[in-house]
Amino acid sequence: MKSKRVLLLPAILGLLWGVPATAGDHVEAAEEYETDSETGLIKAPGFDTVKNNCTVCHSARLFTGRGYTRKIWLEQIRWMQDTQGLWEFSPEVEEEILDYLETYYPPR
Amino acid sequence: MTDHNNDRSELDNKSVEEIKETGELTGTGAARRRFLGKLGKGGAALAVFGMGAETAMQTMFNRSTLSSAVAAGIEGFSVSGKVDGFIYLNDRPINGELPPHLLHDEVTPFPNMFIRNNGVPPAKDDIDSSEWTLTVSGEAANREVTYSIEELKNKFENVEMQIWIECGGNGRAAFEPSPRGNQWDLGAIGCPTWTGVRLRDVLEDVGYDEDKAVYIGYQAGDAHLSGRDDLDAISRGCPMRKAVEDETLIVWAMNGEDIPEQHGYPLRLITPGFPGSASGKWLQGILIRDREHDGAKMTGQSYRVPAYPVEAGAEVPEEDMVILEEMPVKSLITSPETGVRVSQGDGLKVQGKAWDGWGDVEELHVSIDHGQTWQKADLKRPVNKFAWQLWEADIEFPTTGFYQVWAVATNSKGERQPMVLPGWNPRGYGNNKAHHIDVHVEA
Repeated sequence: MKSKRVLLLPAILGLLWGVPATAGDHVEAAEEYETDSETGLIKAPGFDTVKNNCTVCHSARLFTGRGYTRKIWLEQIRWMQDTQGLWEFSPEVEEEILDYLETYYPPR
Repeated sequence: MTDHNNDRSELDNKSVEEIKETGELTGTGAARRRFLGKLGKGGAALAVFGMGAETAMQTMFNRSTLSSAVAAGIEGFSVSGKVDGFIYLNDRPINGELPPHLLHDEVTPFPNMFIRNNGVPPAKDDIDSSEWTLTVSGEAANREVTYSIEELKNKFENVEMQIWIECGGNGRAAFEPSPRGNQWDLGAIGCPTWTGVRLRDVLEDVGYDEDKAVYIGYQAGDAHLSGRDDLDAISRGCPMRKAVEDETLIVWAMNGEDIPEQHGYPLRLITPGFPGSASGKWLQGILIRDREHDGAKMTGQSYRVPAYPVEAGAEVPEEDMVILEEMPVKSLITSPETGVRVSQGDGLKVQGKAWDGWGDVEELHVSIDHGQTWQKADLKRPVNKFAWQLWEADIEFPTTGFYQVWAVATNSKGERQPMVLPGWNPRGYGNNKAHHIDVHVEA
């Protein structure tokens, strides 16, 4: 039950902001999984990798409220690597992170 | 953007742990810092790598299970002293705003002042303000001078002004496709009173070459989120024309008291009319640059907008992005709260605030028919330039039913708030779409 409540929060906030909270792919994909109460991340395949690599410096709240294409997610990673002190990922780790973000945090 | 820079290839084979330990720089990161000296982040240099960060953050803020924090979106997180209803967008870095009805105070008090942090602020308890210094230097400075806060207070004319600060990305949440950055709705704006000295007086005391000086860059005491001392969280500034204006200040007090920790204790810049990021917090240094300042978040796409209108979702080359300077004219309805129920016979007094990046709002109009007809509101003059302006209008409703009350401000240049979203831009800046509230008019 708890995970359901947390999942609803983005939708509620969306209403507050006047942004239509449409039941898009994001919500459908997310509904199959619980949400991690500590980070707010969806506990789908790739969750541990994303948590370990993406929440060391900043909160996951920086990105759980929205979604982008794989290309823009990759741009963000490159920007952080070029200017913000993010370390390099192995190709496998990078794929896993991008797959996760693309699937569960797509454009809305 | 997607080019894989070879500068980083030497790091490819290292584990995360190795990189964390050595804190190695990428080539590009090092190059971008070529101008910036050692800042000595002091108490700000939290060990934010690894799980130590969580512990450190927990000691800095009250954690509670209050329903207000949950409603605001981040379970168990709040900043001590902020009003119930404060909307937390992020906890690391800390970012939060207010719903419009909590911005009704004429002078914004601490509990109702939005927070936009880029890094980790230095802990107030670790700062001895008598030892805090401001160093002015740079290519166009005649000399390097370091001032204590006491010296600033004693050497220069003290001024107190009420000046609004608005985040450049206020209103970003309305843009689609969603631009990167905090999804601010309406309330990343506030207008406290500030006490300090004019930046111009300090620059003149240091002395600078007027032919060479182009830009002011600030250096701040907040730590980069990564915990690395070689990276700045943010280092922006303003062109000289703005730096020497009467209302551009170095301040040590907000609303007559020490600046609160999250708002820049013990010293900050106030650069009126510009996006809030030009008003550097935890101020330690000012550079008088002979070029446009190139500190953190001055370059690339940060705080920049396309030089020409673009369609939503467009990719804009970096060379076509220009620095966001004066914020567009804007207003809010701060009373009553949206959704109010009124009796038709009583009518409704609507009140709010209006502000403009150039310093003067000339007129404010309200409409109850979606802009078909307009009623002029009573708009007060600002208490000083760059204070927000109070306005009010007494509205009568011709029938019962559901109404929207819209407010539109017009500045001294004749520029007026749009009722539709203004132009989409890659990072979602400058949304000054008119605000409205819903009103249920009953018999």
